[in-house]
Amino acid sequence: MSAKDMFYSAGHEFSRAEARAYAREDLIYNVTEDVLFQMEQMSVTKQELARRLGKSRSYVTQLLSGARNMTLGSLADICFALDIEPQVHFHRSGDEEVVEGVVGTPVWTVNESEIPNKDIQVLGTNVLDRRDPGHWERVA
Amino acid sequence: MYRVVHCLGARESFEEALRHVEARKQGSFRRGLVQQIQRLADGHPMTRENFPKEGKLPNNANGEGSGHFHALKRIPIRGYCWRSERHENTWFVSHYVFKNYQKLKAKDTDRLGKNWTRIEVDGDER
Repeated sequence: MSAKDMFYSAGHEFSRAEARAYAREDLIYNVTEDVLFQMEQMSVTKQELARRLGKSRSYVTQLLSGARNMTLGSLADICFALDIEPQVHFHRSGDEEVVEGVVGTPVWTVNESEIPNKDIQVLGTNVLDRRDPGHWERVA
Repeated sequence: MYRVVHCLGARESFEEALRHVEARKQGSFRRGLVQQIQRLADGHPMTRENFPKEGKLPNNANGEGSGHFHALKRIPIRGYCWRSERHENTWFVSHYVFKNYQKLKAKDTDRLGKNWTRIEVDGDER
């Protein structure tokens, strides 16, 4: 199950165009959110980032809101300005295994011993439960 | 990782909020909220910019503050939610609003507060 199930009727079939829009916006959202998170951790404002980049604040705002297309070059410039190094991992859809090489987004892991037992009833499509390790067995 | 639960009526409130958005942008807004909830469930860090603390939760039975609730922000839509103390690793989304105004409205705090009380105090998880 994914968060899509919480916002679409059961049986909704995604067209290829819709799926592509999701893939595109997922990447933009998660990369910009990761950059914003790094900035918040470092207490770097958009104004300060704009100064370091030699750009306007509105340019930075548009980039980080996804309103302006972020090129790999501009992402590299932002990372350089923040003194962080991006990594990109490629893997097949629905598969955790890295296909080849690593240049990737952070790898998020979870210690299964920290996952509590399911203690409450799941009520269909109003719930997205990513705590259940059995999820991966079912989708494999 | 987390479990994210739509409270009763949350999905309907999203559809209502979405009706105020230009038709050609509705798909993008729906995708935006899906992405935020997926990220929240996956346990990736959320930013203060797009997932701010929005208001205070009701006091608990001892009269102590229970912390804050957050807003999933996809301007101008907001989804108000809180992290449960009763259910481990669980976020509840109370409802969504089309927020074309600055200040949080009391009726939204009230609606979230009623859901919070029903779930966290009365133990009725829906």
